[in-house]
Amino acid sequence: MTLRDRARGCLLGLAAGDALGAPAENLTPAEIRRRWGRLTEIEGGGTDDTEYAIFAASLLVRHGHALTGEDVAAAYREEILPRIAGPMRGAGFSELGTVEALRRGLEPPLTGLVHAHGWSDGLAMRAAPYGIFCPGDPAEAARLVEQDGLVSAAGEGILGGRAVAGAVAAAMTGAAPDEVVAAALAVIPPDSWTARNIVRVRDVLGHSSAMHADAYAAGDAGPDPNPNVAPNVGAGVVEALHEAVVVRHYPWTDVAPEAVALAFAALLAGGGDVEASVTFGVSLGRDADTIGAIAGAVAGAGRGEDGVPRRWAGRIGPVTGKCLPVVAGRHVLDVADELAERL
Amino acid sequence: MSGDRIRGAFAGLAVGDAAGWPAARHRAALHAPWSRRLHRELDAFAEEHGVTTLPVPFALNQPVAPLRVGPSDDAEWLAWTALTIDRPRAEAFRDLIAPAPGTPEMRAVGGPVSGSSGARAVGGPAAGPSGERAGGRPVRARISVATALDNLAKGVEPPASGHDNPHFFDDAAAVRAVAFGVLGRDPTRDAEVTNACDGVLGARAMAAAMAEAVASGSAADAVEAALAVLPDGTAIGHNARLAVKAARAAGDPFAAVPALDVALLDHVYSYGVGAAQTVPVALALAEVSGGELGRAVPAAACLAALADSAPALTGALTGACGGLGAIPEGWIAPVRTLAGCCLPDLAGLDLIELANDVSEGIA
Repeated sequence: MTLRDRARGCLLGLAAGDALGAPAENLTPAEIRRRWGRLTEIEGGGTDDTEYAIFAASLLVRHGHALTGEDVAAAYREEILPRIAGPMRGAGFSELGTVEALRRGLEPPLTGLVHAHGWSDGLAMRAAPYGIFCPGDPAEAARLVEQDGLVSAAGEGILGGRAVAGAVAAAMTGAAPDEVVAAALAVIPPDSWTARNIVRVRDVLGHSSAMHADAYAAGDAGPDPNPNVAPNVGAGVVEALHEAVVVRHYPWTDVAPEAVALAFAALLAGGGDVEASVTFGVSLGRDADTIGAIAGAVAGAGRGEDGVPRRWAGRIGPVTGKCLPVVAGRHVLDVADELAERL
Repeated sequence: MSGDRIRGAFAGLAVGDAAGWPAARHRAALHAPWSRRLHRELDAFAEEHGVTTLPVPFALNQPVAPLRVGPSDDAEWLAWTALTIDRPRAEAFRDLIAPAPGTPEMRAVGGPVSGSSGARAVGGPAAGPSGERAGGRPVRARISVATALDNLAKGVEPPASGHDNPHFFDDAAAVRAVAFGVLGRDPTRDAEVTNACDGVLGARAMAAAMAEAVASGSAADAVEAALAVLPDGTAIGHNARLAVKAARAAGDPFAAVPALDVALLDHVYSYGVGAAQTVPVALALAEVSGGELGRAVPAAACLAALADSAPALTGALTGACGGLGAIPEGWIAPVRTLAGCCLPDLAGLDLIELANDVSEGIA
């Protein structure tokens, strides 16, 4: 499988997961089951996840590995701020807070620190292009996505972006889901909320182990202890995952340590298959479009364009620019090709 | 003199707590749930009908006393901190969730939950002076504290209990730090149970400012002490310097209100209890008022988005600077008795008597 094929699968999977999950956002798993049984068919268009990922890819195309937080801030000032007329539709708290910080003349990293949503999954949702750009090099993918994150995120929000970029970079080599998750853990501090949550969901799904993660970090993944993973995704697993990582007393669901962990849970539960991972991811509710987008991106990088169900790919057209006018008309497959040309 | 300043700090915090509009919302928790549901329905009615006659907390067939001017959440958490200050912090918090033997399981915050995270009201074996249980009503708390209690119930210990927390940045610990600060004690261990990063820095800054205010009565020195513990590259450090500068430029607390709004608030997020906003407001207004509570607290209460806790923190600082004697007498009687709207066991506790005990080292 070529890197171009994986890049196309990654962004197609991201767009499909975003679109599939959009109607399930903020619903409880029980309500999702009541409405759809299992949500498997894309009903409408994608959301901010896809459009911001396309924007992130455009930064990489222009700046490559030299990308800095200052470049990203400049791009916000030149391409995002001037086009905001009235409400900034489809944006999350972190982007809105960042825009206000930029308007006040602040520079990164303060732009990501002064608003109260540094933990947002807004960086994780658009981290996939950084992984595509660094196949087999999770550490470099994490370093690059952090440059983007310095503008709009802080703390665990940056770690969520690093984890997803690292996971995609590993998946771009065809690594198995266990190895992909281990790669994500290897690019964030073990003493972090994101790492603890990823370990929690892995434990819920019966995956081990710290030993495996350490082996990957040391560059020796060794034989997969459980190559034909058949995770227990029976009744009660969705609830157990919620119990493990969902913040009960908080009304907003876009907290990166939660969404990223649930997305990795979906990847593990689906055994890396795009459709199985994404449909399980969106069945979890919460920030379902972002969970679906991350699971789809990582699984899609692993399985390539043909791994994304054809009926889903057929529903993915050029984005409308409803969240980011600057990317209107772009198609994720063209964006994937642009990234792949630079590998 | 330090006794009078400690009493002033406690009473001042309660004055500010009472002066902010959210106090009545918190105190309405003492009413039956249907009473607050009616409030929400009236709010929806006003929206639907385009009428600008907005509902206010009201008592229909309920006691009216909770809706009079009085202290709410922040005064109660200050008192709880003073009462438990010598206990290991995680243990003190865990008492808010541990099921009391032989009592039906209740949950600390929010609705019913399965499993072992039952609740009992504050106090417990290290009983507060109020004695009576208020019918086992659940403890109510900020998001940071509610999440920390969940974390503790799951075995997530500090500092992760405060760090793995979407509201790690809020000012719950900064409010509690008033109790540590008046005694010149480090609030970090306490703060880390429920908060991290800016949330812990806010507590350190408040404690440093309170210690200085109790020692010298100088608002300027108190603010300087707080700024000294706030690194420049943090949001709270950046904002604190920005706020102090904006208030100095305005030259007067009330005059500074619009400038503080512009400098500190992006009005993007749904909750106004961020330590990186409320603590800087308190510092800026304390300084520009020269430590006068009667000028600083009303200005803090004018920042509607921050009116839940910025007036309380401002009141604590300026109350300490001027001492109890400088607080307008008409405010003291209404605010000294706790309502128990968040910590039911503290209903009826006299905050100024507690401050006396604190200053005499017997709390």
